[in-house]
Amino acid sequence: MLRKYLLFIGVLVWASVAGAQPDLYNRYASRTDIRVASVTGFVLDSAGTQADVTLLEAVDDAGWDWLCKEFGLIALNDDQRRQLAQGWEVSMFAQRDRKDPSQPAPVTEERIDVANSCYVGVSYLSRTLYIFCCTTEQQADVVIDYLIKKMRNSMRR
Amino acid sequence: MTELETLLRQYAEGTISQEEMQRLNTLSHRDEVLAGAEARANTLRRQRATRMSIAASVALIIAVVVAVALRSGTPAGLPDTVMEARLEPQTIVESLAEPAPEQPVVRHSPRQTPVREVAQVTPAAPDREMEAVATALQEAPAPVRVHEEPPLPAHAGESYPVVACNSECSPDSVINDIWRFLRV
Repeated sequence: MLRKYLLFIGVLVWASVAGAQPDLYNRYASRTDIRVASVTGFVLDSAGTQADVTLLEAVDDAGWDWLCKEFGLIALNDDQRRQLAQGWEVSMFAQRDRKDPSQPAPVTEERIDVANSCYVGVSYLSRTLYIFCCTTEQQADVVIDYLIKKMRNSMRR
Repeated sequence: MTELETLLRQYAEGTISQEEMQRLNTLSHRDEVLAGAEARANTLRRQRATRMSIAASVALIIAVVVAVALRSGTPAGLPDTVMEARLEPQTIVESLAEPAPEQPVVRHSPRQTPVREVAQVTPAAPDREMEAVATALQEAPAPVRVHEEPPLPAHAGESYPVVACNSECSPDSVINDIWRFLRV
């Protein structure tokens, strides 16, 4: 009886997970050269601030090239390439529209509403994109703080 | 918050103007230049410490050679310069071979003598210069990876978030991956 109950709960959880896949996950899930992982409700701090995070990790060079083109990642300069060759992290981030985080935001004075923002953090060392999608200003503040420190550390080397 | 961090925040929030963007680029570049200058300074410091160490070693060898020559009691047989002592060990051997009558005969092979004397002299009278060099070498800053690691939030990751993967993965590994990215 208990086994059946647990099985039923498991099926329910699986169904809810499958149903909660964000669009980003569904868009890249079929690719074999990119490892996609989606976390819904990732807790960012002790205040319980949450964000949905999608990881896109290139499995091979082709996957990384494709990710760079898809997300319009800027090319590294000589110093950054040297830094990367020495095993140091090179990190960048960008604010993107929640509707399509892969598209670079237009360079305008207009501010994208944080409630509709995703922040794309890039780790060139692990060739992974971490996409944090926020719905409130508080979430965006916490994410931005992390990403600024990350980028700042990357630039200090 | 520094100007750079303020600009980065404005950049992140999409409120940065073109002028501020240029300023951000300048600051970022300056930061890289500063980092390069710091690395160069570290290299120079290490090179200077190495040179001092070599100079101190040479000075110590000279002191040992002089001490040996004085002990042997044949000051007249001393070579004129250190280079002669180093390049012509035979001179020392010859001077040792003809000691003054009142002095005991001490025979050393030219290679063994300085080494043995170093071992005897150094512990009894530690060279302050060498200590200074050793201290300088210890204090010479090595290139350090700078991390600002915020403390892990007390309840971070404890709400059992929903994780989905398109390949084999565990929720723990994915969450750890995100934390590793955020904290390092």
